[in-house]
Amino acid sequence: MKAKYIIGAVIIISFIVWAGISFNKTLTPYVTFEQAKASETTVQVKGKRIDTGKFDMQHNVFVFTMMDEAGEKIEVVYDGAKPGNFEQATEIVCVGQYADGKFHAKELLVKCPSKYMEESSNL
Amino acid sequence: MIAGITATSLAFICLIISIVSYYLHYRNRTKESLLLGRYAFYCSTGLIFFQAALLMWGILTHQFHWQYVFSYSSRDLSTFYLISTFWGGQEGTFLLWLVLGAIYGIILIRKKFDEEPLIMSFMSLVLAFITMILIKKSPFTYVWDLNPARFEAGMVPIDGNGLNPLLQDPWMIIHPPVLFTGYSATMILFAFAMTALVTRKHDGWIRTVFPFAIFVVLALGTGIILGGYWAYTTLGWGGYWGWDPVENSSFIPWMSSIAFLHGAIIQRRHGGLKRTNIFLALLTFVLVLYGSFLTRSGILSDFSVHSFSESILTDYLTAFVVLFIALSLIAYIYGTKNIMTVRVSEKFFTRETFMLFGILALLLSSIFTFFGTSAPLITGIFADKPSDVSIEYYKMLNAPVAILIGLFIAISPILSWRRENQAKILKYHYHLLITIIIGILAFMFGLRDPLPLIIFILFVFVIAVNGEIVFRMIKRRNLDFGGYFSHVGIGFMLIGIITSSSYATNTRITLPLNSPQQVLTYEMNYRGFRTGADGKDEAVIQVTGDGKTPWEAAPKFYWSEFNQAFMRNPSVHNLWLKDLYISPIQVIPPEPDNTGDPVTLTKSNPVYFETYRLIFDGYEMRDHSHTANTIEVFAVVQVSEGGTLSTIRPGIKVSGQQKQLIPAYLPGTERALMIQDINIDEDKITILVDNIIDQEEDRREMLAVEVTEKPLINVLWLGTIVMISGISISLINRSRFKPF
Repeated sequence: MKAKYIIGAVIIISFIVWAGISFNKTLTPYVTFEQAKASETTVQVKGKRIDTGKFDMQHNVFVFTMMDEAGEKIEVVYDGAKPGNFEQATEIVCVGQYADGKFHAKELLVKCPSKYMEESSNL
Repeated sequence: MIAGITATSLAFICLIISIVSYYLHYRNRTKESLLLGRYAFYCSTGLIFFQAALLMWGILTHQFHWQYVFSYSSRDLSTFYLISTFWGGQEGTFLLWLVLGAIYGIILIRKKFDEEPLIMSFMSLVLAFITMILIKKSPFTYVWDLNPARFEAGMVPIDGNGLNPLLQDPWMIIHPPVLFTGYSATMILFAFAMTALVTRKHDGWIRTVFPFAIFVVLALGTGIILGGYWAYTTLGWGGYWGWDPVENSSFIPWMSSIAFLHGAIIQRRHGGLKRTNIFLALLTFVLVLYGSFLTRSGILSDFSVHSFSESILTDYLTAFVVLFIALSLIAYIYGTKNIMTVRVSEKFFTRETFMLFGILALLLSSIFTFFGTSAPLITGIFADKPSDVSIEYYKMLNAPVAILIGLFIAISPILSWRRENQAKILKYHYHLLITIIIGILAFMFGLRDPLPLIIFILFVFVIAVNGEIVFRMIKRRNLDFGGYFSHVGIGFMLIGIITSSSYATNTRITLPLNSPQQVLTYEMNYRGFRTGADGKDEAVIQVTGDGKTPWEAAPKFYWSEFNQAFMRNPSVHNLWLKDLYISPIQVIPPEPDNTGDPVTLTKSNPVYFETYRLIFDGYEMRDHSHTANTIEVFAVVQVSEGGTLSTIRPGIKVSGQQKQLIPAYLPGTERALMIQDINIDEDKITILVDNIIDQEEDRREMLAVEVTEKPLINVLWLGTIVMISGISISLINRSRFKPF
């Protein structure tokens, strides 16, 4: 009977610890490119696109230039498909890491000022 | 639309009357108050149905001067998709929620439970709040009331904005209503648990609520799985689950409802877990409210790919959530005071002990997924800029949960209730042996990484143990095997998830037009674009694999006026042991090559170029009505060489702000002809003809695609069907579910 409570407590405590570690490790703070360069972990940078980007056929990645809120311009390499509404984007959020003069994005969130998109998706 | 708005307000009044008179009946037991409560509820149900019917009528008959109809539907939608616009926007989903709630209310009244007055009082309370949201934001508002600058009062717009093409999908017709059936049904759990607290009868409600608990688990689970099919086949990102806030907000209450269901099983058997079960029932409802608040309020707009934007409802929703959390908490604290507790079990190796561990694992998964989803809210309190956790968090978190749950649903059916029966446990060494053999085989087939291998072996054991129990029970004609059957389904699902995600092979490649390429073990030949049966543009790729008959893959890649974006739908080809999943990434037009020879043609005047005789015949326009923003202009050029005459059409495609040249080819060659200049006044065009020497592959149009092989994904789909059938069997069998 004791064993039940001990095991239960072990599960709960180790889970809380594990969740805390996971949370801290995967938390991606909002930063500028300046801060991203210094950071070793995954971060998010918000900014505006400068060009329409192009598909790099050598490495099969999508490359574009972004200016962050502090006005710094950096080339972003995205390991995925060019977002379908990239041309219309007013604001872009890149999730990833800075390395070798480029920002390597794992995720791109694109925001558009579309007249149709007011609260359209809520499923 | 005055009738609709009036109906909403009247429904609200009726619900208030219902709350009050049902409560009075609970206090004084007069017959009049009971009847008044019932009739008020019937009235509100009628009014809710009237609103739903009215909105549906408005959608089907294109009442575009109604804001809701204007925002989410259009004339070109088929009847099916018109129906699904009902839940294409917020107001519609709240109305759907109300309709379902009203139906549940009627069912509860017809069941004539002893606790009807309080249960119905709480049901009406929840419905009244949702009605209030609809009063604040009505689907029946006229467009000119909302936007007088754009719409003149009394004028019906010609057409609506249309439905998001991502939602124009057969799965999307059924996924939202099924999910909302589950969301809405959690209010039954709330009403029952609150009643148990107020009346301080902590045992009786478990038996009556039980079928409804199974129903919640069934509806939420089915809804989640349907959403997974939709994501897999329609959203091009390659998966069925992405730990997105919207997905999480259905996953979190599903986990807690499963925890509650198992807690209820223990309480039915033992009488223990009185407080825990009330807590879990309330928690499930509160989590549904919280999820709908989080995903609709605009708080996550910086963090989700789903488009959330600030809504006028944020304050209402916040108040709604806070109020119900407070109400539940206060009732819980007062209602469980001096409760007569019953010890669940004294012994360790008993079924109830391991079920308790399972409940704990489910609850932990639910709570910590909740924390992750709320990360922007939580971190927003401590820092000036909120942060979010990445998808890795959920994966790190739920891998140990999967192992724990696997362990408990494998072990607990082996054990007996109440006593430690060793002889029974030892009987399962055959299952263990079979599992180990399958595990070794899997290892030899390439399942080498420790974590996936552990999860795989564990869930093979789950299937072996639970499958055998199902088999034995069917032989004994005991129909109560639904729970075990759904465990078998979970086993198959986890195995399918492991193999199809951890062992997926993935590559990204650019396919030149008409030039077969080796991709993984397949040969792929990109044949260009065509307009599909549904009017959307699709790329055509001929795929030949393993010497079998070739097939045609047609992933969609089209311009959507509604989203102002290019949309992608993958092509999924099912090959029994795996899926071949092709997502289009981008079309790369051939770069205009100025090394070619420019040839200027005047209309109807033949021009000789090398051995060809070219005549420019005029223009051809094609515009696709479904993508009004896309226009294609082609120059019709007749080519004759050595007595053979043919017509080719180089063109320009304009979509949005993008221009794209569409090359034509000299007959029988790979030499491209492209429009360089158009002079409409003089009926002249200049075309550029490729040099013969310049025939490198990268001068062709290219299609970049992502190709993924997902092994054993059929096992996952099989698992979902088994699991859903298992829960359905429980529902039919345990409850002898008769709604009327």
